[in-house]
Amino acid sequence: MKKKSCNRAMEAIESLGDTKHRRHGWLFLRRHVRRCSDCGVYLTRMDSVIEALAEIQRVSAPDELLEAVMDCLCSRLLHESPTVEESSHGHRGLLVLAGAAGLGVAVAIALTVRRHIIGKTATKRLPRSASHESSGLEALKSGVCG
Amino acid sequence: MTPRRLSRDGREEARLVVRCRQGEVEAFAALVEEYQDGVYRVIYRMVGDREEARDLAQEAFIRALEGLGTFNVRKPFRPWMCRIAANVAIDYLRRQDHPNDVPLEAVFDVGAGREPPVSGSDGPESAALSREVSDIVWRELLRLQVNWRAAIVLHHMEGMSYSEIGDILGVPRNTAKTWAHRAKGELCRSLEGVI
Repeated sequence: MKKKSCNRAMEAIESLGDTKHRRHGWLFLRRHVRRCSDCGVYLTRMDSVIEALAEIQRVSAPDELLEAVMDCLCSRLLHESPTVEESSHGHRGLLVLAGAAGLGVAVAIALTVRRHIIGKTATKRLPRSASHESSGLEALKSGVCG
Repeated sequence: MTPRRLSRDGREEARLVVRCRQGEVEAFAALVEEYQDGVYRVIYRMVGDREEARDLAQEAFIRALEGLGTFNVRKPFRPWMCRIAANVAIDYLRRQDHPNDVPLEAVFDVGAGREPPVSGSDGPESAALSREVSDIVWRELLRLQVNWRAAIVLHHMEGMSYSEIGDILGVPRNTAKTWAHRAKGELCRSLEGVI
């Protein structure tokens, strides 16, 4: 009999911190821990755990995260840009040249864009992508590397 | 189902997303700036290592940018971004040989991310106990198996519902709830002898 009510108490204790907690569950728990010290200890520990979880808060992102994300974006765009080379076998040499030139331009534009963003000096609108629903990366790629 | 009306901030976010889809880099930078703390926090709590969290946060934003075309601008951006951050952290942990190893940083720098205790009527002994409990809970949290850890971090620290967590982890709502409860039970056991 006691074990059954202890199981119910354990369930109620483990659901502490959930958004919904039924009133009759609380009342049962309060009554139960008065006469069951084991569950009372478990309740105290659970209370401490929930309090500790709430205290592990407010970690802020490192200051350079934004810059790192934009660097990462630029390097991704630059890494993906020479795919033209692979798309055709006919004018391979020409495409390699065009790819290299494009890469150079992309590097210059990407660095400029990055400088503008980090410095927040001016609003730079890149050309619209073909599809409004295309991914942001494609849109930025067409703007930066296109 | 009628879409929920967005708050003023939500409408501003939606505008940023639209501008971002149109290739405006500043809009993307603004989204990163707005959400960097939240994204970093979710990932740090999952992996327990600041350097890894920084790299993974970068990855999360790039992944978000790649998937921006699928985002429904009528819905709030935060849960969507939080979901990506959680998935990036979970993918990372699942790739690890020993995902339950506590990073050295978490061993030596325990409680670094914790809020300072509020000075009040509690004495120094109580504050010391509270610090010890927090440190133990933080270390044990990082020892939990990935799914349990994700469930407890996302529910208790990020305020996500079990349905949302279930979606992220690819399990039914009740399974996510069970995992969070078991995780809490495990954390309680770690306090045996302390409390």
